Amino acid sequence: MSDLRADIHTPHEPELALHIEDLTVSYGDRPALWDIDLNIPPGVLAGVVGPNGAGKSTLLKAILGLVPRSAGHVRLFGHPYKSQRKRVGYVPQRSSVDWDFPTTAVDVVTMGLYGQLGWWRWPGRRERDRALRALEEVGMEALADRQISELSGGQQQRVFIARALVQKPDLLLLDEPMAGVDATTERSIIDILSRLRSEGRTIVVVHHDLQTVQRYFDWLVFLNVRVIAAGEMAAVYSARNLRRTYGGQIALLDENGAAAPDAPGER
Amino acid sequence: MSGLANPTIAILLTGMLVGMAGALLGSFLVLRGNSMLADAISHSILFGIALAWLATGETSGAVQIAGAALSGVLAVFLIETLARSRRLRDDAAIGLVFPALFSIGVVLINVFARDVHLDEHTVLLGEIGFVWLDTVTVAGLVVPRALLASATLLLVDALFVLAFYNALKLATFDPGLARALGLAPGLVFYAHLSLLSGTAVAAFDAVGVVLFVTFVVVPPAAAYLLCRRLSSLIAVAMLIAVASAPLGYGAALWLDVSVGGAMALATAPFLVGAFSWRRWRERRRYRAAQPPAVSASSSA
Repeated sequence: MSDLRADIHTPHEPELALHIEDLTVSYGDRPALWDIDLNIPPGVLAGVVGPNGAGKSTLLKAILGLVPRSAGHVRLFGHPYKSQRKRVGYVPQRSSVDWDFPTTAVDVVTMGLYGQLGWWRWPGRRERDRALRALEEVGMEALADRQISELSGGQQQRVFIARALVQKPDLLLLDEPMAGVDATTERSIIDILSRLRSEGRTIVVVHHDLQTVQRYFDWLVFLNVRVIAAGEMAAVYSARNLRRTYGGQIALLDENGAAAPDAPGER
Repeated sequence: MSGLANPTIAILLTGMLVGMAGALLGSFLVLRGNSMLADAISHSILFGIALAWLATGETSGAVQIAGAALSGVLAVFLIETLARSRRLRDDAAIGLVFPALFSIGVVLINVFARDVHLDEHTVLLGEIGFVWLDTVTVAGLVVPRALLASATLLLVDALFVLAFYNALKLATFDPGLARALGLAPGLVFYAHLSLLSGTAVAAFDAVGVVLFVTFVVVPPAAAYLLCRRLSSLIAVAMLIAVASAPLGYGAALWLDVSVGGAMALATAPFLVGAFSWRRWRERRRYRAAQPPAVSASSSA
Protein backbone atom coordinates (compact mmCIF):
# COMPACT_ATOMS: atom_id res chain seq x y z
CA MET A 1 0.00 0.00 0.00
CA SER A 2 2.78 2.44 0.80
CA ASP A 3 4.15 2.21 -2.75
CA LEU A 4 0.77 3.28 -4.09
CA ARG A 5 0.72 6.23 -1.77
CA ALA A 6 4.18 7.31 -2.80
CA ASP A 7 3.22 7.81 -6.44
CA ILE A 8 0.24 10.12 -6.63
CA HIS A 9 0.13 9.92 -10.40
CA THR A 10 -0.81 6.27 -10.41
CA PRO A 11 -4.59 5.97 -10.04
CA HIS A 12 -5.41 4.32 -6.74
CA GLU A 13 -8.87 2.73 -6.44
CA PRO A 14 -10.13 4.57 -9.58
CA GLU A 15 -13.41 2.67 -9.60
CA LEU A 16 -14.47 4.46 -6.39
CA ALA A 17 -15.85 8.02 -6.32
CA LEU A 18 -14.37 8.44 -2.86
CA HIS A 19 -11.70 6.35 -1.18
CA ILE A 20 -10.41 7.23 2.28
CA GLU A 21 -7.77 5.18 4.05
CA ASP A 22 -6.31 5.47 7.57
CA LEU A 23 -7.46 9.09 7.84
CA THR A 24 -6.86 10.81 11.18
CA VAL A 25 -7.53 14.51 11.86
CA SER A 26 -6.81 16.20 15.19
CA TYR A 27 -7.66 19.61 16.59
CA GLY A 28 -4.94 20.16 19.17
CA ASP A 29 -4.71 17.00 21.29
CA ARG A 30 -8.26 15.86 20.56
CA PRO A 31 -8.81 13.59 17.56
CA ALA A 32 -11.79 14.74 15.48
CA LEU A 33 -11.53 11.76 13.12
CA TRP A 34 -9.74 8.56 14.01
CA ASP A 35 -8.43 6.01 11.52
CA ILE A 36 -11.20 6.47 8.95
CA ASP A 37 -11.50 3.86 6.19
CA LEU A 38 -14.34 4.68 3.82
CA ASN A 39 -15.25 3.78 0.24
CA ILE A 40 -18.15 5.29 -1.67
CA PRO A 41 -18.93 3.98 -5.16
CA PRO A 42 -20.00 6.36 -7.95
CA GLY A 43 -23.66 7.16 -8.54
CA VAL A 44 -24.97 6.88 -4.98
CA LEU A 45 -26.75 9.39 -2.77
CA ALA A 46 -24.98 8.85 0.53
CA GLY A 47 -25.91 10.20 3.95
CA VAL A 48 -23.42 10.75 6.77
CA VAL A 49 -25.02 10.65 10.23
CA GLY A 50 -23.68 10.80 13.75
CA PRO A 51 -24.08 12.78 16.99
CA ASN A 52 -22.80 16.34 17.51
CA GLY A 53 -19.02 16.40 17.57
CA ALA A 54 -18.80 13.16 15.59
CA GLY A 55 -16.59 14.89 12.99
CA LYS A 56 -19.12 14.94 10.13
CA SER A 57 -18.19 18.42 8.88
CA THR A 58 -14.53 17.69 9.52
CA LEU A 59 -14.81 14.64 7.27
CA LEU A 60 -15.97 16.80 4.35
CA LYS A 61 -13.30 19.40 5.08
CA ALA A 62 -10.60 16.71 5.23
CA ILE A 63 -11.71 15.39 1.83
CA LEU A 64 -11.33 18.93 0.43
CA GLY A 65 -7.98 19.52 2.14
CA LEU A 66 -9.41 22.34 4.28
CA VAL A 67 -8.11 20.83 7.52
CA PRO A 68 -4.65 19.30 7.95
CA ARG A 69 -4.52 15.50 8.01
CA SER A 70 -2.43 13.86 10.72
CA ALA A 71 -2.35 10.58 8.81
CA GLY A 72 -3.93 8.73 5.92
CA HIS A 73 -4.92 9.61 2.38
CA VAL A 74 -7.97 10.53 0.32
CA ARG A 75 -8.55 9.67 -3.34
CA LEU A 76 -11.35 10.97 -5.56
CA PHE A 77 -11.92 8.84 -8.66
CA GLY A 78 -8.48 7.40 -7.99
CA HIS A 79 -6.61 10.72 -7.67
CA PRO A 80 -5.75 13.25 -4.95
CA TYR A 81 -8.19 16.14 -4.49
CA LYS A 82 -5.87 18.77 -6.00
CA SER A 83 -6.08 17.21 -9.45
CA GLN A 84 -9.85 16.64 -9.14
CA ARG A 85 -10.84 20.11 -7.91
CA LYS A 86 -12.97 20.92 -10.95
CA ARG A 87 -15.02 17.71 -10.56
CA VAL A 88 -15.99 18.40 -6.94
CA GLY A 89 -18.72 20.71 -5.65
CA TYR A 90 -18.89 21.75 -2.02
CA VAL A 91 -21.87 23.20 -0.16
CA PRO A 92 -20.67 24.38 3.28
CA GLN A 93 -23.01 25.02 6.19
CA ARG A 94 -25.17 28.04 5.47
CA SER A 95 -24.09 29.69 8.73
CA SER A 96 -20.43 29.62 7.64
CA VAL A 97 -20.73 32.88 5.67
CA ASP A 98 -22.00 36.40 6.32
CA TRP A 99 -25.31 36.75 4.45
CA ASP A 100 -25.15 40.54 4.85
CA PHE A 101 -22.26 40.58 2.36
CA PRO A 102 -23.07 43.10 -0.40
CA THR A 103 -23.84 40.76 -3.28
CA THR A 104 -26.69 39.14 -5.21
CA ALA A 105 -27.90 35.55 -5.61
CA VAL A 106 -26.58 35.20 -9.17
CA ASP A 107 -23.23 36.68 -8.13
CA VAL A 108 -22.84 34.10 -5.33
CA VAL A 109 -23.57 31.33 -7.83
CA THR A 110 -20.98 32.77 -10.23
CA MET A 111 -18.39 32.40 -7.43
CA GLY A 112 -18.63 28.65 -8.00
CA LEU A 113 -16.89 29.26 -11.34
CA TYR A 114 -13.96 31.24 -9.90
CA GLY A 115 -11.91 28.04 -9.70
CA GLN A 116 -12.41 27.39 -13.42
CA LEU A 117 -11.80 31.06 -14.28
CA GLY A 118 -8.50 30.95 -12.42
CA TRP A 119 -6.63 33.91 -10.97
CA TRP A 120 -6.91 36.42 -13.77
CA ARG A 121 -10.07 36.04 -15.82
CA TRP A 122 -13.19 37.98 -14.86
CA PRO A 123 -16.64 36.42 -15.07
CA GLY A 124 -18.55 37.61 -18.14
CA ARG A 125 -21.77 37.02 -20.03
CA ARG A 126 -21.11 33.27 -20.38
CA GLU A 127 -20.52 32.80 -16.66
CA ARG A 128 -23.65 34.78 -15.79
CA ASP A 129 -25.71 32.61 -18.15
CA ARG A 130 -24.35 29.45 -16.58
CA ALA A 131 -25.12 30.84 -13.12
CA LEU A 132 -28.68 31.69 -14.17
CA ARG A 133 -29.16 28.16 -15.49
CA ALA A 134 -27.92 26.75 -12.17
CA LEU A 135 -30.40 28.99 -10.33
CA GLU A 136 -33.12 27.68 -12.63
CA GLU A 137 -32.21 24.12 -11.63
CA VAL A 138 -33.02 24.97 -8.01
CA GLY A 139 -36.08 27.07 -8.89
CA MET A 140 -34.52 30.40 -7.93
CA GLU A 141 -34.18 32.16 -11.31
CA ALA A 142 -36.80 34.78 -10.39
CA LEU A 143 -34.70 35.95 -7.44
CA ALA A 144 -31.36 36.07 -9.31
CA ASP A 145 -30.74 39.77 -8.74
CA ARG A 146 -32.00 39.81 -5.16
CA GLN A 147 -29.60 40.95 -2.43
CA ILE A 148 -28.69 37.77 -0.52
CA SER A 149 -29.67 39.18 2.90
CA GLU A 150 -33.23 39.55 1.57
CA LEU A 151 -33.57 35.82 0.89
CA SER A 152 -35.17 33.37 3.33
CA GLY A 153 -33.05 30.63 4.88
CA GLY A 154 -34.35 28.06 2.43
CA GLN A 155 -33.69 30.35 -0.54
CA GLN A 156 -30.15 31.01 0.69
CA GLN A 157 -29.58 27.27 0.94
CA ARG A 158 -30.75 26.78 -2.64
CA VAL A 159 -28.40 29.56 -3.81
CA PHE A 160 -25.56 27.68 -2.09
CA ILE A 161 -26.55 24.46 -3.85
CA ALA A 162 -26.74 26.28 -7.20
CA ARG A 163 -23.21 27.59 -6.56
CA ALA A 164 -21.99 23.99 -6.40
CA LEU A 165 -24.16 22.83 -9.36
CA VAL A 166 -22.78 25.52 -11.66
CA GLN A 167 -19.46 23.64 -11.58
CA LYS A 168 -21.21 20.55 -13.02
CA PRO A 169 -19.52 18.42 -10.36
CA ASP A 170 -19.20 14.65 -10.56
CA LEU A 171 -18.93 14.51 -6.77
CA LEU A 172 -21.04 16.80 -4.61
CA LEU A 173 -20.40 17.25 -0.88
CA LEU A 174 -23.10 18.96 1.19
CA ASP A 175 -22.82 19.94 4.86
CA GLU A 176 -26.24 19.87 6.57
CA PRO A 177 -28.20 21.30 3.62
CA MET A 178 -31.53 20.65 5.38
CA ALA A 179 -30.61 22.50 8.59
CA GLY A 180 -33.03 25.31 9.34
CA VAL A 181 -35.05 25.10 6.13
CA ASP A 182 -38.83 24.62 5.83
CA ALA A 183 -40.42 21.34 4.77
CA THR A 184 -41.08 22.50 1.20
CA THR A 185 -37.46 23.50 0.66
CA GLU A 186 -36.27 20.23 2.21
CA ARG A 187 -38.49 18.33 -0.25
CA SER A 188 -37.18 20.30 -3.23
CA ILE A 189 -33.55 19.89 -2.11
CA ILE A 190 -33.91 16.12 -1.91
CA ASP A 191 -35.64 16.13 -5.34
CA ILE A 192 -32.67 18.04 -6.80
CA LEU A 193 -30.21 15.60 -5.21
CA SER A 194 -32.14 12.56 -6.44
CA ARG A 195 -32.18 13.98 -9.96
CA LEU A 196 -28.41 14.51 -9.82
CA ARG A 197 -27.91 10.92 -8.71
CA SER A 198 -30.02 9.66 -11.62
CA GLU A 199 -27.62 11.61 -13.88
CA GLY A 200 -24.84 9.43 -12.49
CA ARG A 201 -23.30 11.90 -10.05
CA THR A 202 -22.14 10.95 -6.58
CA ILE A 203 -23.55 12.89 -3.65
CA VAL A 204 -22.43 12.83 -0.01
CA VAL A 205 -24.71 14.64 2.46
CA VAL A 206 -24.02 15.32 6.12
CA HIS A 207 -27.46 14.89 7.66
CA HIS A 208 -28.87 15.37 11.16
CA ASP A 209 -32.41 14.01 11.00
CA LEU A 210 -32.59 10.27 11.60
CA GLN A 211 -36.33 10.21 10.84
CA THR A 212 -35.68 10.79 7.14
CA VAL A 213 -32.40 8.99 6.39
CA GLN A 214 -34.03 5.82 5.13
CA ARG A 215 -36.28 7.71 2.71
CA TYR A 216 -33.63 10.11 1.41
CA PHE A 217 -30.49 8.05 0.93
CA ASP A 218 -29.46 4.77 -0.68
CA TRP A 219 -26.07 4.61 1.03
CA LEU A 220 -25.28 5.40 4.66
CA VAL A 221 -22.24 6.19 6.80
CA PHE A 222 -22.52 6.01 10.58
CA LEU A 223 -19.81 8.24 11.97
CA ASN A 224 -18.69 8.95 15.51
CA VAL A 225 -15.00 9.98 15.28
CA ARG A 226 -14.56 6.50 13.80
CA VAL A 227 -16.62 4.93 11.03
CA ILE A 228 -19.10 2.73 12.91
CA ALA A 229 -20.64 1.26 9.76
CA ALA A 230 -20.93 2.16 6.09
CA GLY A 231 -22.63 0.60 3.13
CA GLU A 232 -25.93 0.22 1.31
CA MET A 233 -28.87 1.46 3.33
CA ALA A 234 -30.55 -1.95 3.62
CA ALA A 235 -27.33 -3.57 4.81
CA VAL A 236 -26.28 -1.09 7.51
CA TYR A 237 -29.42 0.64 8.84
CA SER A 238 -30.07 -1.24 12.06
CA ALA A 239 -30.90 -0.48 15.67
CA ARG A 240 -27.55 -1.96 16.64
CA ASN A 241 -25.59 0.46 14.45
CA LEU A 242 -27.74 3.39 15.61
CA ARG A 243 -27.01 2.48 19.22
CA ARG A 244 -23.30 2.05 18.57
CA THR A 245 -23.19 5.47 16.89
CA TYR A 246 -25.40 7.52 19.17
CA GLY A 247 -25.00 5.65 22.49
CA GLY A 248 -27.72 6.58 25.01
CA GLN A 249 -29.36 9.20 22.79
CA ILE A 250 -30.98 6.53 20.67
CA ALA A 251 -33.64 5.74 23.31
CA LEU A 252 -35.33 9.04 22.46
CA LEU A 253 -35.58 8.06 18.84
CA ASP A 254 -37.27 4.76 19.65
CA GLU A 255 -39.91 6.61 21.70
CA ASN A 256 -40.66 8.79 18.71
CA GLY A 257 -41.68 5.67 16.88
CA ALA A 258 -38.87 5.54 14.36
CA ALA A 259 -38.50 1.84 14.76
CA ALA A 260 -35.36 0.49 13.20
CA PRO A 261 -34.94 -3.18 12.33
CA ASP A 262 -32.82 -5.12 14.78
CA ALA A 263 -30.78 -6.90 12.19
CA PRO A 264 -29.85 -5.94 8.64
CA GLY A 265 -31.74 -7.51 5.78
CA GLU A 266 -35.08 -7.94 7.56
CA ARG A 267 -37.09 -5.93 5.06
CA MET B 1 7.03 76.28 -8.04
CA SER B 2 4.86 73.64 -9.64
CA GLY B 3 1.19 73.31 -8.77
CA LEU B 4 1.76 70.12 -6.82
CA ALA B 5 4.00 71.93 -4.35
CA ASN B 6 1.35 74.54 -3.65
CA PRO B 7 0.47 74.00 0.04
CA THR B 8 -3.30 73.80 -0.37
CA ILE B 9 -3.11 71.48 -3.38
CA ALA B 10 -0.46 69.29 -1.76
CA ILE B 11 -2.45 68.94 1.46
CA LEU B 12 -5.75 68.22 -0.28
CA LEU B 13 -4.31 65.76 -2.80
CA THR B 14 -2.34 63.88 -0.14
CA GLY B 15 -5.44 63.61 2.03
CA MET B 16 -7.54 62.35 -0.87
CA LEU B 17 -4.98 59.80 -2.06
CA VAL B 18 -4.34 58.43 1.43
CA GLY B 19 -8.08 58.29 2.00
CA MET B 20 -8.75 56.46 -1.27
CA ALA B 21 -5.99 53.91 -0.70
CA GLY B 22 -7.17 53.29 2.87
CA ALA B 23 -10.83 52.96 1.87
CA LEU B 24 -10.00 50.64 -1.05
CA LEU B 25 -8.08 48.12 1.06
CA GLY B 26 -10.26 48.78 4.10
CA SER B 27 -13.41 47.63 2.27
CA PHE B 28 -12.18 44.03 2.27
CA LEU B 29 -10.96 44.29 5.86
CA VAL B 30 -14.27 45.62 7.18
CA LEU B 31 -16.25 42.96 5.28
CA ARG B 32 -14.02 40.24 6.73
CA GLY B 33 -14.73 41.56 10.22
CA ASN B 34 -11.04 42.34 10.75
CA SER B 35 -11.22 46.11 11.23
CA MET B 36 -9.02 45.95 14.32
CA LEU B 37 -6.15 44.58 12.23
CA ALA B 38 -5.89 48.06 10.67
CA ASP B 39 -5.24 49.43 14.14
CA ALA B 40 -2.68 46.72 14.83
CA ILE B 41 -0.84 47.25 11.54
CA SER B 42 -0.75 51.03 11.67
CA HIS B 43 0.69 50.99 15.21
CA SER B 44 3.14 48.17 14.60
CA ILE B 45 4.77 49.86 11.61
CA LEU B 46 6.34 52.36 14.02
CA PHE B 47 8.67 49.56 15.07
CA GLY B 48 9.66 49.05 11.42
CA ILE B 49 9.97 52.78 10.74
CA ALA B 50 12.30 53.14 13.75
CA LEU B 51 14.42 50.17 12.61
CA ALA B 52 14.52 51.42 9.00
CA TRP B 53 15.62 54.83 10.25
CA LEU B 54 18.35 53.28 12.42
CA ALA B 55 19.61 51.24 9.49
CA THR B 56 19.50 53.89 6.76
CA GLY B 57 19.12 57.27 8.46
CA GLU B 58 16.03 57.96 6.36
CA THR B 59 12.32 57.60 7.09
CA SER B 60 10.91 57.81 3.58
CA GLY B 61 11.86 56.07 0.37
CA ALA B 62 10.92 52.80 -1.26
CA VAL B 63 13.29 50.62 0.78
CA GLN B 64 12.18 52.23 4.03
CA ILE B 65 8.51 51.80 3.15
CA ALA B 66 8.98 48.14 2.25
CA GLY B 67 11.07 47.50 5.36
CA ALA B 68 8.66 49.21 7.68
CA ALA B 69 5.72 47.44 6.02
CA LEU B 70 7.32 44.14 7.03
CA SER B 71 6.75 45.00 10.68
CA GLY B 72 3.04 45.34 9.95
CA VAL B 73 3.10 41.89 8.34
CA LEU B 74 5.08 40.62 11.34
CA ALA B 75 2.31 41.91 13.62
CA VAL B 76 -0.34 40.07 11.58
CA PHE B 77 1.74 36.90 11.60
CA LEU B 78 2.21 37.06 15.39
CA ILE B 79 -1.49 37.72 15.93
CA GLU B 80 -2.50 34.82 13.67
CA THR B 81 -0.01 32.47 15.32
CA LEU B 82 -1.16 33.38 18.83
CA ALA B 83 -4.83 33.08 17.87
CA ARG B 84 -4.28 29.72 16.16
CA SER B 85 -2.63 28.30 19.29
CA ARG B 86 -6.16 28.40 20.81
CA ARG B 87 -4.62 29.59 24.08
CA LEU B 88 -5.70 33.19 23.37
CA ARG B 89 -8.75 34.72 21.76
CA ASP B 90 -8.31 36.73 18.53
CA ASP B 91 -8.98 40.11 20.14
CA ALA B 92 -6.61 39.36 23.03
CA ALA B 93 -3.89 38.42 20.53
CA ILE B 94 -4.37 41.74 18.72
CA GLY B 95 -4.33 43.65 22.01
CA LEU B 96 -1.14 41.89 23.04
CA VAL B 97 0.91 42.23 19.87
CA PHE B 98 0.49 45.75 18.58
CA PRO B 99 1.06 47.74 21.79
CA ALA B 100 4.25 45.70 22.25
CA LEU B 101 5.62 46.54 18.78
CA PHE B 102 4.39 50.13 19.05
CA SER B 103 6.05 50.72 22.41
CA ILE B 104 9.32 49.18 21.25
CA GLY B 105 9.16 51.64 18.34
CA VAL B 106 8.54 54.56 20.70
CA VAL B 107 11.45 53.52 22.94
CA LEU B 108 13.81 53.14 19.96
CA ILE B 109 12.90 56.63 18.76
CA ASN B 110 13.33 58.09 22.25
CA VAL B 111 16.73 56.51 22.74
CA PHE B 112 18.28 56.85 19.30
CA ALA B 113 16.40 59.49 17.40
CA ARG B 114 15.87 62.44 19.68
CA ASP B 115 16.79 64.97 17.01
CA VAL B 116 14.71 63.82 14.05
CA HIS B 117 11.16 64.86 13.33
CA LEU B 118 9.89 61.48 14.52
CA ASP B 119 8.18 62.37 17.78
CA GLU B 120 5.20 60.75 19.45
CA HIS B 121 2.84 63.51 18.43
CA THR B 122 3.69 63.20 14.73
CA VAL B 123 3.45 59.43 14.98
CA LEU B 124 -0.09 59.57 16.25
CA LEU B 125 -1.51 62.46 14.26
CA GLY B 126 0.92 63.07 11.40
CA GLU B 127 1.50 66.53 10.04
CA ILE B 128 -0.35 66.80 6.78
CA GLY B 129 -0.23 70.61 7.15
CA PHE B 130 3.50 70.50 6.38
CA VAL B 131 3.64 67.89 3.60
CA TRP B 132 4.45 70.58 1.03
CA LEU B 133 7.72 71.45 2.81
CA ASP B 134 9.39 68.10 2.09
CA THR B 135 9.63 67.76 -1.68
CA VAL B 136 11.45 65.67 -4.26
CA THR B 137 11.91 66.33 -7.96
CA VAL B 138 10.46 63.71 -10.31
CA ALA B 139 10.85 64.21 -14.06
CA GLY B 140 11.37 67.93 -13.57
CA LEU B 141 8.32 68.25 -11.33
CA VAL B 142 8.61 69.34 -7.70
CA VAL B 143 6.40 66.90 -5.78
CA PRO B 144 5.88 66.65 -2.05
CA ARG B 145 7.38 63.39 -0.85
CA ALA B 146 4.23 62.24 1.02
CA LEU B 147 2.12 62.97 -2.06
CA LEU B 148 4.42 60.89 -4.26
CA ALA B 149 4.44 58.03 -1.76
CA SER B 150 0.66 57.93 -1.34
CA ALA B 151 0.05 58.20 -5.11
CA THR B 152 2.43 55.29 -5.74
CA LEU B 153 0.83 53.13 -3.08
CA LEU B 154 -2.69 53.93 -4.31
CA LEU B 155 -1.63 52.85 -7.79
CA VAL B 156 -0.11 49.58 -6.52
CA ASP B 157 -3.18 48.92 -4.33
CA ALA B 158 -5.56 49.55 -7.22
CA LEU B 159 -3.60 47.26 -9.55
CA PHE B 160 -3.58 44.54 -6.88
CA VAL B 161 -7.34 44.77 -6.28
CA LEU B 162 -8.12 44.79 -10.03
CA ALA B 163 -5.82 41.84 -10.76
CA PHE B 164 -6.99 39.68 -7.85
CA TYR B 165 -10.57 40.91 -7.55
CA ASN B 166 -12.20 37.45 -7.77
CA ALA B 167 -9.81 35.85 -5.34
CA LEU B 168 -10.09 38.77 -2.89
CA LYS B 169 -13.86 38.74 -3.07
CA LEU B 170 -14.20 34.99 -2.53
CA ALA B 171 -11.52 34.95 0.19
CA THR B 172 -13.55 37.64 1.97
CA PHE B 173 -17.01 36.08 1.52
CA ASP B 174 -16.20 32.37 1.84
CA PRO B 175 -12.54 31.50 2.54
CA GLY B 176 -13.43 27.79 2.79
CA LEU B 177 -14.72 27.65 -0.79
CA ALA B 178 -11.83 29.83 -2.00
CA ARG B 179 -9.44 27.25 -0.60
CA ALA B 180 -11.38 24.32 -2.00
CA LEU B 181 -11.27 25.96 -5.46
CA GLY B 182 -7.50 26.45 -5.18
CA LEU B 183 -7.58 30.26 -4.83
CA ALA B 184 -5.18 30.34 -1.83
CA PRO B 185 -7.10 32.69 0.49
CA GLY B 186 -4.25 32.67 3.02
CA LEU B 187 -1.81 34.02 0.45
CA VAL B 188 -4.34 36.62 -0.73
CA PHE B 189 -4.90 37.66 2.90
CA TYR B 190 -1.20 38.24 3.54
CA ALA B 191 -0.70 40.06 0.23
CA HIS B 192 -3.63 42.32 1.06
CA LEU B 193 -2.32 43.07 4.55
CA SER B 194 1.24 43.61 3.27
CA LEU B 195 -0.12 46.29 0.95
CA LEU B 196 -2.15 47.75 3.80
CA SER B 197 1.07 47.94 5.85
CA GLY B 198 2.93 49.60 2.97
CA THR B 199 0.09 52.07 2.51
CA ALA B 200 0.10 52.81 6.23
CA VAL B 201 3.83 53.57 6.09
CA ALA B 202 3.39 55.85 3.07
CA ALA B 203 0.47 57.60 4.74
CA PHE B 204 2.25 57.78 8.08
CA ASP B 205 4.07 61.10 7.58
CA ALA B 206 0.90 62.75 6.41
CA VAL B 207 -1.81 61.50 8.71
CA GLY B 208 -0.16 59.42 11.46
CA VAL B 209 -1.29 56.03 12.68
CA VAL B 210 -4.60 56.90 14.33
CA LEU B 211 -5.96 58.90 11.43
CA PHE B 212 -4.96 56.26 8.91
CA VAL B 213 -7.15 53.76 10.79
CA THR B 214 -10.06 56.17 10.40
CA PHE B 215 -9.67 56.16 6.63
CA VAL B 216 -9.42 52.36 6.52
CA VAL B 217 -12.45 51.66 8.67
CA VAL B 218 -14.99 54.52 8.59
CA PRO B 219 -15.65 55.04 4.84
CA PRO B 220 -16.16 51.29 4.14
CA ALA B 221 -18.32 50.98 7.28
CA ALA B 222 -20.53 53.84 6.04
CA ALA B 223 -20.64 52.44 2.49
CA TYR B 224 -21.60 49.01 3.89
CA LEU B 225 -24.81 50.57 5.18
CA LEU B 226 -25.63 52.07 1.78
CA CYS B 227 -24.54 49.56 -0.86
CA ARG B 228 -25.80 46.23 -2.15
CA ARG B 229 -22.80 45.31 -4.35
CA LEU B 230 -19.15 44.95 -3.45
CA SER B 231 -18.05 47.12 -6.39
CA SER B 232 -20.39 49.97 -5.42
CA LEU B 233 -19.36 49.62 -1.76
CA ILE B 234 -15.72 50.17 -2.73
CA ALA B 235 -16.60 53.11 -5.00
CA VAL B 236 -18.77 54.80 -2.37
CA ALA B 237 -16.15 54.23 0.35
CA MET B 238 -13.48 55.86 -1.82
CA LEU B 239 -15.81 58.78 -2.64
CA ILE B 240 -16.48 59.35 1.07
CA ALA B 241 -12.74 59.37 1.72
CA VAL B 242 -12.17 61.84 -1.13
CA ALA B 243 -14.95 64.15 0.08
CA SER B 244 -13.66 64.07 3.66
CA ALA B 245 -10.34 65.69 2.69
CA PRO B 246 -11.62 69.13 1.51
CA LEU B 247 -14.38 69.03 4.14
CA GLY B 248 -11.83 68.45 6.90
CA TYR B 249 -9.38 70.97 5.45
CA GLY B 250 -12.04 73.67 5.39
CA ALA B 251 -13.05 72.87 8.95
CA ALA B 252 -9.40 72.93 10.07
CA LEU B 253 -8.85 76.40 8.58
CA TRP B 254 -12.08 77.68 10.05
CA LEU B 255 -11.51 76.32 13.57
CA ASP B 256 -7.70 76.56 13.45
CA VAL B 257 -7.16 72.91 14.44
CA SER B 258 -5.03 69.97 13.20
CA VAL B 259 -5.69 69.35 9.49
CA GLY B 260 -5.27 65.58 9.75
CA GLY B 261 -7.57 65.42 12.77
CA ALA B 262 -10.26 67.45 11.02
CA MET B 263 -10.02 65.29 7.87
CA ALA B 264 -10.50 62.14 9.90
CA LEU B 265 -13.38 63.65 11.80
CA ALA B 266 -14.94 64.72 8.50
CA THR B 267 -15.65 61.03 7.71
CA ALA B 268 -17.98 60.93 10.73
CA PRO B 269 -20.95 62.83 9.20
CA PHE B 270 -20.98 60.28 6.36
CA LEU B 271 -21.17 57.38 8.80
CA VAL B 272 -23.89 59.07 10.87
CA GLY B 273 -25.80 59.91 7.70
CA ALA B 274 -25.55 56.36 6.34
CA PHE B 275 -26.59 54.94 9.70
CA SER B 276 -29.64 57.22 9.94
CA TRP B 277 -30.67 56.52 6.34
CA ARG B 278 -30.46 52.77 6.94
CA ARG B 279 -32.57 53.00 10.10
CA TRP B 280 -35.13 55.18 8.38
CA ARG B 281 -35.38 52.77 5.46
CA GLU B 282 -35.73 49.72 7.72
CA ARG B 283 -38.45 51.39 9.81
CA ARG B 284 -40.36 52.38 6.70
CA ARG B 285 -40.17 48.82 5.38
CA TYR B 286 -41.24 47.43 8.72
CA ARG B 287 -44.26 49.76 8.81
CA ALA B 288 -45.17 48.89 5.23
CA ALA B 289 -45.11 45.21 6.17
CA GLN B 290 -47.48 45.68 9.13
CA PRO B 291 -51.21 45.15 8.63
CA PRO B 292 -53.09 48.48 9.20
CA ALA B 293 -54.96 47.27 12.30
CA VAL B 294 -51.72 46.44 14.11
CA SER B 295 -50.05 49.75 13.30
CA ALA B 296 -53.19 51.61 14.43
CA SER B 297 -53.23 49.87 17.81
CA SER B 298 -49.49 50.31 18.34
CA SER B 299 -49.66 54.03 17.61
CA ALA B 300 -52.61 54.49 19.97
